[in-house]
Amino acid sequence: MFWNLFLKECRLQWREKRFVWSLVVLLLLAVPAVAVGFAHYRSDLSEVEAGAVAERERWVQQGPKNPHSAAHYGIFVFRPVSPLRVWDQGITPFAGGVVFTEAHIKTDASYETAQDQSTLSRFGSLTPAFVLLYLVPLFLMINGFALISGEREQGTLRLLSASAADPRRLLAAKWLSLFPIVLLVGGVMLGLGLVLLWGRLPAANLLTASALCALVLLLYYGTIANMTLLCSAVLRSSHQVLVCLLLFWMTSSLVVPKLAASAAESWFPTPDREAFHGAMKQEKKSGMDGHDPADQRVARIRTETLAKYGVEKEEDLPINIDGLLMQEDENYGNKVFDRYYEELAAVHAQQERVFQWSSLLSPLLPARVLSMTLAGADSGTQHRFNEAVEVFRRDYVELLNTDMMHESRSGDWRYQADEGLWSRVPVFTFDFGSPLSRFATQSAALGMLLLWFLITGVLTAWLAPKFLQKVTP
Amino acid sequence: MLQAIGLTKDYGDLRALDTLDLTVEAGEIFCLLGANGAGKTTTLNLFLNFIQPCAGEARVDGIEVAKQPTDAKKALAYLPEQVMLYPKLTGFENLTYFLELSGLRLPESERNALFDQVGLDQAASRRRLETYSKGMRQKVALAIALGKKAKALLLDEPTSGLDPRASKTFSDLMTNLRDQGMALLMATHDLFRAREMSDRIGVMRSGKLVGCYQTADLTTAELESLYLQHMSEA
Repeated sequence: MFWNLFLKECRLQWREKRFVWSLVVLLLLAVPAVAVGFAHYRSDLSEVEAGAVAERERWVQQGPKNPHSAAHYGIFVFRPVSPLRVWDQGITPFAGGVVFTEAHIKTDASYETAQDQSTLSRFGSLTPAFVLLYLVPLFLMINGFALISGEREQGTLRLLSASAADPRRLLAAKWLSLFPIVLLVGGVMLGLGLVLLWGRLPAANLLTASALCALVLLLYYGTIANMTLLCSAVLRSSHQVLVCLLLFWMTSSLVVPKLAASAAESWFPTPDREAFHGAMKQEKKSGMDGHDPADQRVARIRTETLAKYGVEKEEDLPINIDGLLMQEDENYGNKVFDRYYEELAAVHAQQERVFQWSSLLSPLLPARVLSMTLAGADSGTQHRFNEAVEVFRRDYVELLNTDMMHESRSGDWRYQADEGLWSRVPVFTFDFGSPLSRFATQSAALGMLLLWFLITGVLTAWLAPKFLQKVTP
Repeated sequence: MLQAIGLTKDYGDLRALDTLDLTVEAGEIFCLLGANGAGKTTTLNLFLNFIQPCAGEARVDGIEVAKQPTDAKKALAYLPEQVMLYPKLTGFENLTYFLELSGLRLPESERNALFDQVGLDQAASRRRLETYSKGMRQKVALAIALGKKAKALLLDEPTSGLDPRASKTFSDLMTNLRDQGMALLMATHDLFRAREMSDRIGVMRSGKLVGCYQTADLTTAELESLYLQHMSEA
């Protein structure tokens, strides 16, 4: 019985040219979006793989060199490309994909692809996430705005009201009738994505990511469907409903995210990059909080080392004290870096909180965060990548310093290591983690999206039937 | 079947319906005559629970409309002046949909039979409603009323805009429904059709039922004279 009510709503929508055009336009955007996303992924992947191979060759083939010179020769680390980036590029175009690592310095990722893009790219790229998170809701609103207000204007609401129909069943049929377009477009995109990415990451991860993505989208579209029906029931004319929904879409999709970003940056400003690095350099030199400056540290270590080995001159030490001093300098510098980056992380966390609270004004924000997280293109994954790079840098610099310390004598700057040592530096690897583990880190965003869905759902289920029965005499 | 007991409706200071007492029995056609604003449509709206009474009760088959609107509506069918069904659906699809809404699922043969009963051929019933005339749309609405097995039918100016032939066909259909035991309450300006098809006629003025007549006792000319007399008393 209910099925027939649902079918009637679908049949009416299908016979409206608006539905057919919406479907055609969305499919015309959806298929190229997946194809373009996949092409970008393959191109980025081949660049990163080629870059990583060339860089490894450059490092291993650098020839005989003093280990400390090699530590300054440095290694470029490339951010691996997650296949799920086909779906959502997230912050990666702005976060930088290459980090130059060397001794004494913690560098941030650079070479943002956004730098190479045109001004047009500021308006967003045609990615599956853009189609699914921005365009599909817009078309959903355009198709559904007159579902109740249109009945009122046509006069059919009088007959519906006179027919003793259960308004909740009517409402449920209308609500569900908004989903065939979503399922068609989303299904085509997900299906295409699965075919293209099959075998490029573990099947379990791919299927989990797809299922979680579908969950996020259903919650988001459910919220949009709730809003659409609520406005259509409460407002008097279809014209008002459409204007109201478009304003909601613009506010939710364009205004709130920009305002949230501005507010976050204004209330919790990220320190200027040069000033930030300058302060770290200065603190390393003058000592943390002005205590234990570098020259005093060096003098103390020299004294302690001579005492430890029971010798009076550095030349008599069984190790190269310069290697030790450099490693000690690294260790001290790492403490400074950790402290500064912890403070920076605290600022970022406060900015994240502003975004989380802004989600109360826009259901797109939590959906966007969850989408980026599933794609491994969110700030959390970028942060983990930066941390992994730093661990890699510290490890290989320590390896080089230790080699210099044990394989040469103090004052012997002519010592040179060769390929044997360079090859002992491991190849950088980064594990994105499973989609489920990444998703679990965004429980606040999921909660917000669920809250939007439930609140709009309760309001719609409570108010819309009343208005559905309300007939203008 | 239809009963108004002291039914009253105010819109602010305006009394649209003033303590109306009225009964329409099963197998009876009752026409409400009156000028615009006399309270005819307000009466129908109160029976349909589109508006709430300020005092009194509207009852359908003994059920008080304001208290049990869904149950009351199950016994009712409604034919507005402009029959607004879904223009993008066929007559057949409209019938099926509205019957589903009332919780009825009839086999296709029975649904076709309903169209036969109201005189709409099956080929026409498979066309979209946007191609229908007003008379054809009315027939679909009547098929819905029949299919629903409604005990009472409320009609609001059903013959306005119909050509004489369609109007005659409509009258025949109404008398046919009456003969099947349905109670019909019709608001109209059409004295001729009211005289032709109804059993009783009520004249309304300023929200009050000012006269009630057995149609069999009146010629059309007498009815017109009475009607004008009531109107001139205003």
